[in-house]
Order: sequence, then structure tokens, then C-alpha cells
Amino acid sequence: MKYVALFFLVTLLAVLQSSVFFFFPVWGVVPNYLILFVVLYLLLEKEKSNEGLFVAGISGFWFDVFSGSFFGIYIIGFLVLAYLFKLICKKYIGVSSLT
Amino acid sequence: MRKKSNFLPWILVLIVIFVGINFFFPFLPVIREGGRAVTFPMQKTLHGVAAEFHGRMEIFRNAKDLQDKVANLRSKEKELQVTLAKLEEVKKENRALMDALDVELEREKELVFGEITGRELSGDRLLIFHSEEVTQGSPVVTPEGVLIGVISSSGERFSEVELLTSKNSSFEVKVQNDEEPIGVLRGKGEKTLLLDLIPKEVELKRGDRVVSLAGEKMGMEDIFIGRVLEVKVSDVEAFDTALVWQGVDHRRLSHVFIIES
Repeated sequence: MKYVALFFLVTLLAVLQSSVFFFFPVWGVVPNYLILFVVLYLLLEKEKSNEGLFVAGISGFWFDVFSGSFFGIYIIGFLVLAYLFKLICKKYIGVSSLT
Repeated sequence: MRKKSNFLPWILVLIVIFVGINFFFPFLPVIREGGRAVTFPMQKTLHGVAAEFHGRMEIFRNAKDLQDKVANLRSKEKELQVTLAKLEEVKKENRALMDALDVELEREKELVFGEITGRELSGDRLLIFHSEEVTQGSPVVTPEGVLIGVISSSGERFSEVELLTSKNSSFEVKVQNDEEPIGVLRGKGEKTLLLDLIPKEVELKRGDRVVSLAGEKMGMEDIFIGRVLEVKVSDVEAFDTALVWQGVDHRRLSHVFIIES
């Protein structure tokens, strides 16, 4: 159930990012809230949880849908970066998340 | 002992699957089209609401200048009405001459209606929905006829428009009623466009109308792009540069036309 809710949340964020957020730049730049959400989720999720990776995968999927490049490149990119992010946090900071 | 994470092999498997799918299944764009089709109603509504809200905010912010602008527009409108009446006369005369000389009109270009659904997540491109098929490289214009970009990737119902303001955009242009190219128009990621590589012998002045020139990247000629805002003459550089103003706010556009020949 949580995964379904996460899927819809990420989908909504992707749609907002592509249709609404570019109207409201912050100091001339439109922040990518989808990436921020992925990073925050990875930081705040429980240590053994894989939900962050799921969020990264779905975000990558919507990036692929709303862009014209090679399909799958963002899914792989997001998953690899999310995995490395967790690994680095665990190995060098000592915790895999802030919770 | 802590269990070792086994996610890495799965990522490797995913990479292999996606590379395989992209190379061996050419129907993959269907997934992209499907994803866009599912989110299209929500995206269209949200885009409309955001554009409306943004427009109202702009009016609120610029309330002081509004009265001056209205007065200016009214005087310009009168001037344009006079010009329009003259043009109507010229049009009639032209038609009569063509009939007399038995000259056929150039085959009209087909305009395909496109609705803007949003912006691409990874670049400076517009996502549009259209009910008829369009081809890659076709020019995209505003309802007023100002060229804003070209179709960079086309699907059955959804396509992407590479904006002229995008940093990846560059092509040759000319001044209206001239034949020779005057320089290369580049996007800067800002509202104005940079007209680069202008030869020293070209006399360009503020207010000149810049139009498209048929070439490798642009399929059609004589589509209005914008007016020269400022010419920068340099004694050191081999070429001059100029800024071109389009007067189009992409964020407030709700629909565009794709010119198909």
C-alpha cells in the first residue's frame, strides 16, 4: 500500500514539475523538486528500507517519459545514484539515513 | 552479522534489460507516449491553472505600468488599423494581377494545432500534444506567427519542441526581404537570442525583422523570429553580434501551430 501511495506521489510531483513549477523560478532557476524529493527520501528513510530506491526508480521512469533521450537511462541513472548515495552514507558517514 | 546488500546485481540486470529493450524493441516509444497520454489531462489542467495564476500575478506586479501600456497599445492599434486597410487594398490589387496573369498561388502550408502540456524535465523543451502527425524538424510558431522552435522529437500524439532560446539551438537567419544569411542565431537560455557571426559588411540596425532561412536544421523560409534589439559592433572581433527580441513568453503560451509542408 505504501508503495502504491509513493508511486502516485512521485507521479504527481513529476506532473507538477513539468507543468507548474517552471512558472515559479527561485532566483531565476527552477529547482528540480523531484530530485530533491528523492534525496530527502533517501536521507530520511529507515536504514534497511528499500523504499528510497523504489522512489528513485519511479522518478527515473517519469524523467524518461517526459524527456526525449534513450529510454531507461534515467531509471538506471537514478537507481545507481540512489544505491551509491546509500552506500556512501553507510560507509563514510556511518549511518545510511538520518532516522 | 549484517546481511550484505544484494541490490547491485539487480541494477546490473536492469541495465542489461534496458539496453536490450532499447536496441531490440523499436516500439518502445509507445511506453513514453502512453505515460504522456495518461498524465495529459492532469498536466493540461495544471498548466492552464498555473499560467492563469502567473498571468494574474504579473498584472498585479506591473499595475503601475499598465495604464501607460494601455495608452501606448491604443495608439498603436490605430496605426495598425490604417496599415491593415492599406494592406487589404494591396491584397486585392495583387489578387487581380495574379488572376490577370494566370499565376497560381503557392501551395498553402498545413498548420497542425498543438496544445502545450508542459516542459521537459531534463531540458529547455516544450512538450506538446497534437491530434495529427507531425514530422521532426517542422517549425513551431505561436498563434501570432512568431517562430519559437522546431520539433526535436516527434511521436504519434506527443512531441517535443526545441526552443530557439535553448542553448542547443543554432541556425542561419536573414533579414526580411533579403536573400543572403546575416548570421547564426543562437539560444542563450534567456529571453533574448544572440545573433552571432554577422559579417562586418552587413548593416544591421535596431528594429530590423529577423526571419528564418531554409537550411539543414530549419525546413522553411521567411518565418518571423523577432526584431533586432541591439547591435554590438566590435573593432577587435572578426564578426559583429546582435541581440534579437522575440517578445514571446513561453510560459504563458497555451497552444502553438506546427507548420507542415
